[in-house]
Amino acid sequence: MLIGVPKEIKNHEYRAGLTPESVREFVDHGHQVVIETQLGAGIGATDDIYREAGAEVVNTAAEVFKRGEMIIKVKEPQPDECRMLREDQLLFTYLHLAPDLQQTQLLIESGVTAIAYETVTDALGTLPLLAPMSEVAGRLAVQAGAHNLEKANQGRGVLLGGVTGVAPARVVVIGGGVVGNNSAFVAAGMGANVTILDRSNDRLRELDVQYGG
Amino acid sequence: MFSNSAAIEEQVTKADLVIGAVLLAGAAAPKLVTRDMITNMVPGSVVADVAIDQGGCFETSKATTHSDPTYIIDDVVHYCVANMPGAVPRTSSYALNNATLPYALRLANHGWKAALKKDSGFLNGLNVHKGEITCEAVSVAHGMNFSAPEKLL
Repeated sequence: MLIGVPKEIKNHEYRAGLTPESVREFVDHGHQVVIETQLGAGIGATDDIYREAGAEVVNTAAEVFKRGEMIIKVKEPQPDECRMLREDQLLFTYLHLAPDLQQTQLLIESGVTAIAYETVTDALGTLPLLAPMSEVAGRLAVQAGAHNLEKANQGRGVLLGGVTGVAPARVVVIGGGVVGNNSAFVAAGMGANVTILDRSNDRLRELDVQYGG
Repeated sequence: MFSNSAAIEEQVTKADLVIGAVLLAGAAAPKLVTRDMITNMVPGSVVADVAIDQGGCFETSKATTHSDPTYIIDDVVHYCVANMPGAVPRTSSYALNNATLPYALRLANHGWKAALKKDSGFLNGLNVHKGEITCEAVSVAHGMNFSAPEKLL
């Protein structure tokens, strides 16, 4: 199959649909990968790195959409991208269609077969393709919070982990799911005093075991 | 700690940093932290709302961007950046690929019909096919017809 990966065009979106390592996996399985130039500019992966992994690098998104049998992306296709999709083509990316009527209509008009990362479920009924981004957000929230507690950023002037003889910051995490658990993990690792609130006793029991109360 | 309004109020007003991590699949996040609770927080404390992509779980939340990430209400710093993983695209791209690659390879190796037929959870990912909505939540949201994905395989 010919896999096409365009560069993301949504404002401030620097992620790449395929890393060079993933390109190599496709090539090893006998597939072809065509990427748009500068696909990996935001993740430190040059066109040459992608070429070494086996990708063909082309100059325009239009060529990627024209040749790709399956388009792999990160964000939902923007209107200009939707108009390049066609029947008998596969689209595999985040879609978030429920709040987005325009995109829904454009995908219907295109005839494309669209599979959304965020609605794929696993044997446990959880969302395996949403979880990694929840992990990132949960961990990043602590980093952002610690930064904003600094005085110069208008915070209280408190160091998250405290120091010898000085109490650490109190961190309260509301929700003990994937996001909350990752926040708690990083906050505890930085030495903060962490409290997790959750509505599920079963979940609290699991967290209790994980963190030793 | 078991979560209810009293526990949230007690904890939030003593906290230096509150992280809103309440996400309900496909629904708006509940506003668990009220304006009054924010007003009673310690000046200079920080709230980070990870649920902002679903409307946020603090009553005072509104979405911000990576270039202007915070604002202040009642002396409480609010960090409510939409699409937080976009801040660390290298880590996020690798984390995402680790999860998506096995699925994408199955689509390429077996064709989408065979790949989805073997895995009902993967089939739940099918949202649109040849002009038909195949995800019930999406059809309900837009008042459009729903075609059961099983029938397309």
